[in-house]
Amino acid sequence: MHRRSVLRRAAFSLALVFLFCLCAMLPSCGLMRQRSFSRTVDGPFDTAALIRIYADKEDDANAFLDLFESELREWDKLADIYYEYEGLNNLRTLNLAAGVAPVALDPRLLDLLEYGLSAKEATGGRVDLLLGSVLSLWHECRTAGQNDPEHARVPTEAELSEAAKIASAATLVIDRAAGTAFLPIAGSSVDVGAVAKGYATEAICRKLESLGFTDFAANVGGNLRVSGSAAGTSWQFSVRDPNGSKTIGQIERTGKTAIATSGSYQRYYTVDGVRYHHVIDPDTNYPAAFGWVSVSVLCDDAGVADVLSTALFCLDYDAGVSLISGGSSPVSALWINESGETFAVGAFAEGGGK
Amino acid sequence: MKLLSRREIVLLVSLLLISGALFLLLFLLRGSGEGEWDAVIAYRNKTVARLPLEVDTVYLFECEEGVNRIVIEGGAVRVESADCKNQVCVEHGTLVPAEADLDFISCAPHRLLITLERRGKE
Repeated sequence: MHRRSVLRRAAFSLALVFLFCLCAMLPSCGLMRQRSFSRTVDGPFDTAALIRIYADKEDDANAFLDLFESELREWDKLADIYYEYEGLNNLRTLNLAAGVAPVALDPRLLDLLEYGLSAKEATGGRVDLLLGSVLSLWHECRTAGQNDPEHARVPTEAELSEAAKIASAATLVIDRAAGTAFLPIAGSSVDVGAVAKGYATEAICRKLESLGFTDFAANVGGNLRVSGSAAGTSWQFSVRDPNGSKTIGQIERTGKTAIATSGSYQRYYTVDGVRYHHVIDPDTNYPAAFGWVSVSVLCDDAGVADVLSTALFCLDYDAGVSLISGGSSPVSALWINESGETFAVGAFAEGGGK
Repeated sequence: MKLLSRREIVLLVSLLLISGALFLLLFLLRGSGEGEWDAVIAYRNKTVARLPLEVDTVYLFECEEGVNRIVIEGGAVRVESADCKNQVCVEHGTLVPAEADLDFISCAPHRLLITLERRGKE
């Protein structure tokens, strides 16, 4: 009698375990899986974006994609330093009024400027939003050189030293009560190229998360930010080696995660056979020359990742490691140098690399 | 003395049958969900072509800004050559389904974007 009862229990238990295991596999199959909805947006921040959400309903997904796209386009106009838009005060308005008068700005833009000032302090000036006068010189030469390579030139020493003098004297006065910002030094200007994309991506993601959206991902010109999961599975991050197009760092994550990459390989121009990339070292006023072709930073905030990837590009390895160590939340980084060697800390070191 | 009663045998067989049916369902669904990807070619925010990733092919993308030679080979897409200024699209290398959630190929000078999407599910 006892033997029979044990066998019976064993048979039923086995059958139930088998059934349970099969049920546990259900979410990973197509039937139970959320669908993926994506959109590419060409243009904002002079780059392209891929936005994706996993959702049950198409209407919810479209609401998310519409909101993300419109927010991104709005941020692009606000942070634009090259174009003016009717009825909108943006960073170009602020720069044009340097030395003249304070400019009333959207509160989100004041937040961005305050963030830029704190980034300057946190990175010891490696990321300096008041370097606009120097950066605009390089931008003009790069654009002209790309359009007419035969007459490409680098800014002259005299031009650079004059611009650097203005940049070092530049200050930014933010008056929250009045809702204005002001550049008191004539000729000074802000450039948020190393801050705005990541900051805007983070701000948009947070806003959409607060509206209840989850399980989404955005790649705004190399600034990656994910939320939740990809239909119950991890998001796959990968960093490419610009020297050979192969994938180097691969990381799987669920939950709020961001990666940003600064590189010398995408925006550059050539003068007399020498490549001049767009990440300018505030110490030399020339393109940063620490031997990096790409630096990627992974953390939980797209704004922080953007700032730190630029800062690390303008520092040697040891100074970079000490900058990202000891913060309140963990930061991982992956450096790739001109010889193709990789240096990694944090999650990148666990997943491969040196 | 029987180890299991008739009722218990019926119950056990039913459980096993349900499990078998579920297993078959999972097997079929997994089989149909994988491998069916399209490379989606978009120009100025409009889709201009969807190319099945399982068919090796060469697609010549032409626009007023220039030409990109897009190659689909071995379940991956890449821009083999382009007459754009910066060659970022060519240097990007291949785009594979495992990276499709977050990665895409962009040719900014030609306003061209290439993404991967699951066929019929997006």
